[in-house]
Amino acid sequence: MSNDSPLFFVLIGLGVYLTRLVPLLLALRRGAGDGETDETPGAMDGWLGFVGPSVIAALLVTAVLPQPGQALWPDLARTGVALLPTVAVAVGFKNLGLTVLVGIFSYGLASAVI
Amino acid sequence: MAARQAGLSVFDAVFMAAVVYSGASQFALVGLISSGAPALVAGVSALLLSLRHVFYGPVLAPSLRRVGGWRKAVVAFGLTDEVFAVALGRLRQRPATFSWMVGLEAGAYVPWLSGIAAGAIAGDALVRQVPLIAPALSFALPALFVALLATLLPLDSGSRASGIRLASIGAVAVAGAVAGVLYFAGLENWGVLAAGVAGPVAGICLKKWRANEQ
Repeated sequence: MSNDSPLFFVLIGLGVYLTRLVPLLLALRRGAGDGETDETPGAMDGWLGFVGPSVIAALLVTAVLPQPGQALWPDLARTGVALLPTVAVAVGFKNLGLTVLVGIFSYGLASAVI
Repeated sequence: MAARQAGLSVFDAVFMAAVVYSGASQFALVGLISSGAPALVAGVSALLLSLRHVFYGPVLAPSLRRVGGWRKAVVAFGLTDEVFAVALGRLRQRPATFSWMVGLEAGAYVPWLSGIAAGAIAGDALVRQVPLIAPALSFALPALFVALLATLLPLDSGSRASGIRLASIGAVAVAGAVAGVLYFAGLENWGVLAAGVAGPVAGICLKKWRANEQ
C-alpha cells in the first residue's frame, strides 16, 4: 500500500481514534468516574511521556540533514542559521504558525547569503 | 503548506487532516512521506506519536459519565491535546454534557481543517507569485517539528525541580543522535522508530539517576 493513499490515511486515522476511544470506554466501564482524579497518570511521566519528544526530535534531525549527494556543509550552515531564530521563537511564543513563518523567512535569508 | 511541499495534493492534505486529526501524527506522516519511508514505518511512527492520547479518556472519564451510548464514540474522536487541556480546566468545576463537549470539539476541528486547506492553497499561490520562495518553503516541515518539540518538552521550573526536564532533554538528544547516525548509515527509514525506543530508555535512565541523586 502506498504511504500517501486515502486508505492508508483512513487506517492511521482509525488507529489514532482507537487510542482515544478504547481507554475512555475502559475507564467508564470500570467505574473510574468514582475516583474523581484530575491528575495525569504517573505513567505519563514514564516511557510514554518521552516517546512523543523523541520521535519528533528524530523527525527533525532527518528533515534537516542534507540528502545524499548534496553538499554537506553549506546545507548544514543554512539550516543551523535558520534554526537559531526558529528555536528562539518556538520556545518564547509556543506558537505553531509564527514559528513556521519565522523558520521559512530565516531559511530564505540564510539561503540568500550562504 | 508542508504537506504540499511533501508532494501531497490539497485534497490529500485536507483528507489526511480530517481522518487522522492529530497534529503530531500528521506532521510525522508528511515528513516520512516526503522522505519516501515505507508505509509500515510511517504508520507505526504516527501511531507511536498518538499513544499520549491513551491518558486523555481516563483522566476526563469522571466528568463524562453523563455522556452515554454512541455519544461516547463521538466525543472520543475529538479528544485532542487542545480539547483535553480546555476540558480538564472546565470539567473540574462541573460534569460535561454531550452538547458542550461536541461544541468544544467542533470549535477545534473546523478551524483546524480550514487552516490546513488555507495553508495548502495559499502555499501554492505564494509559490506561483514568488517562485524564489519555493526553496525556503522546504524549511516549513523542520520548523513545524521545532514548534512541536517546544510544546512537548516540559521546560517549566517545576519540571526542572523534578528532574523531568533533564530527562526529557536527554531523551531528545539521544533520539536525535540515533536518528542522525542511522541516517548517515543509510538506514534513515528506521531511524525514527529506533529513536522512539532509544530516547525513552535514555529518559527513564536519566530520571532514575536524578531521583537517586536527590
